[in-house]
Amino acid sequence: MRFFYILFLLFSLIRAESDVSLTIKKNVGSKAGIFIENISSGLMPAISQKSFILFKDDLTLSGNFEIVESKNISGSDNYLLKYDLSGANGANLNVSLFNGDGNSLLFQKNYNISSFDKYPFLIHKAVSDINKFLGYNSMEWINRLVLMSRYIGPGKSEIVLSDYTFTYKKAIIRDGLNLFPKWANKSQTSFYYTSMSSGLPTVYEYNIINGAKTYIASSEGMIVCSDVSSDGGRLLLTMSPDGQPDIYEFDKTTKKSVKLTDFSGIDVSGQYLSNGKEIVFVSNRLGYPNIFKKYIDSPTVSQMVFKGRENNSCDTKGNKVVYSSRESKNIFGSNTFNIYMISNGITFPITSSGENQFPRFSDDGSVVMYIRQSNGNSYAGFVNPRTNQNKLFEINSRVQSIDW
Amino acid sequence: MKKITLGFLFLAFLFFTGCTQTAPIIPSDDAANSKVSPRNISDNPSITTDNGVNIKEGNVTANDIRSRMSPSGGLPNDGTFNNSSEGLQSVYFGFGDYSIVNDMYKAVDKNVQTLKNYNGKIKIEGNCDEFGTDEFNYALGLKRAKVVKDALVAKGIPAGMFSIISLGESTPVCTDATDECYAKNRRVDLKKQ
Repeated sequence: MRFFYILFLLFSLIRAESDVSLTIKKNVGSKAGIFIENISSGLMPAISQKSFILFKDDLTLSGNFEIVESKNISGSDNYLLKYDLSGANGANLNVSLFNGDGNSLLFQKNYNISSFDKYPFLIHKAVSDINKFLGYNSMEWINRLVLMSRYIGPGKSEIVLSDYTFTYKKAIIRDGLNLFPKWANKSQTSFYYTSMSSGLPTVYEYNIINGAKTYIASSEGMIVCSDVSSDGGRLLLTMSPDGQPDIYEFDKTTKKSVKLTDFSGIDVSGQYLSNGKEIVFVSNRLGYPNIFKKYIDSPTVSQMVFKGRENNSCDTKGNKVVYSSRESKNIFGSNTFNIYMISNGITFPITSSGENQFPRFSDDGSVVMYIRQSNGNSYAGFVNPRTNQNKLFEINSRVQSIDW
Repeated sequence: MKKITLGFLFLAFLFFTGCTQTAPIIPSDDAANSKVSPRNISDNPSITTDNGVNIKEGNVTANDIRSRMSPSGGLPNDGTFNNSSEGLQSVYFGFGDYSIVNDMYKAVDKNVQTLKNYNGKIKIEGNCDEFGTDEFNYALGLKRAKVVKDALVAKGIPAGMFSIISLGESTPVCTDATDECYAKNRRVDLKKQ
């Protein structure tokens, strides 16, 4: 009898010790302390304050740094970052990284961009360079351009180019109803979007370098470019030439479309999976929106998600899938939507509250962006599942669709 | 004594089997603590209210409307609510639904009578409330437009008269955060071209 008590006590102690060691390991997660010093002069106070916040947010989101308030942070894993932002020749940024006591200059670089309002891109680039210089995992994703369609009135929306924090914003497609922007290539030189201006929904490709607009395809009812193959040669379109929304694959060279789904309800949001051999999509074939997948050259469709009664938006990167799921049952008013990720066969939530939709992977798949709707406004959320870092940025617009 | 021992063993079993589950990482994402409000952003558009719908708002209270809505949130069709061209009647739908409910066939029949004497083209526009995302909402609007077109064609109106388009949630006739307002936006409008 005594043996069992001792055994129980022993296992309890082992378990308790195990938890402590895990906690210590997590806390010791070796984040470097970094003090940010703004040595800019002549900046408007609002810009000066905003530039500091951008540095702070970028460094924090990397998951590798902890912003410290004291300048005295000696130690091998601590740093001092000095920056000088000015309006010389557009926007000019000098960045210097010292060791914690400020005695040794480790990294120094100058950045310039043609117009001052684009200064957030300089800060993002400087932080990703410092991150890379110190040997941490890449965070090139903060340099990506974000495309969003935002509603500006009934029947009116415009497509806006921004940085990932939505500090820089510029409308590039105006007038009428312009929807569903989607980057056409990895280099982000052109994008597809749906224009409703002619009465017949039409997808165009817009080149942001020279402003050229090229016709791609049109369809009665609706047409959306949902995804682009990794080589840029094939598009997944949701079209309805006969009034029925289905997913088609469009070949840019031959200009021909092949119908991939054939269902009397709704099939939308096709996304390439597994190097383009399969697609993931949203369908209401079980009576409610849910996530399904199929091989491109096979008619067989399989259910991918077995949880939630309204899973109506998804994105893929490699073999990973993210989707939004409604988790409350209000017919009217606000509902809880959370974002889930499927990776290596495991499904787990990456948001825990609020109305979170439009999940989109970063180009390298390391971070997920999503849109949170709250009180008529939209916020862009970023989650890095590896580092458990997350952040929300106010967009000040009602978002129709987004890509980055 | 044996019972106590078994009790301990049972507790130990629960304790250790609990360890085998991997808890998901749920990051806290509290907007209030982490949002950034850029002060230098000057372009803050907002959706404005469009009062283009022909509603006798003065005599209809929110509770009146709500009491007449179907359990699925559909609006009654007694001519009170309309956003279609003159002589035509909008068709309203329940939440997340694209089937025509029984009382909406009155609107379909009225449209059939009008269109029998009409020789022009009609654009059928499918609309949704704001509760939906992305492509699915546009597809829902499209299915609503298609089902109205099919109902009209089934009653003898030539299919060639119609074109259909989905406007998704882009064209609300009402932007208040109320149940009756959302119901007004879940509609199909028929517009003479």
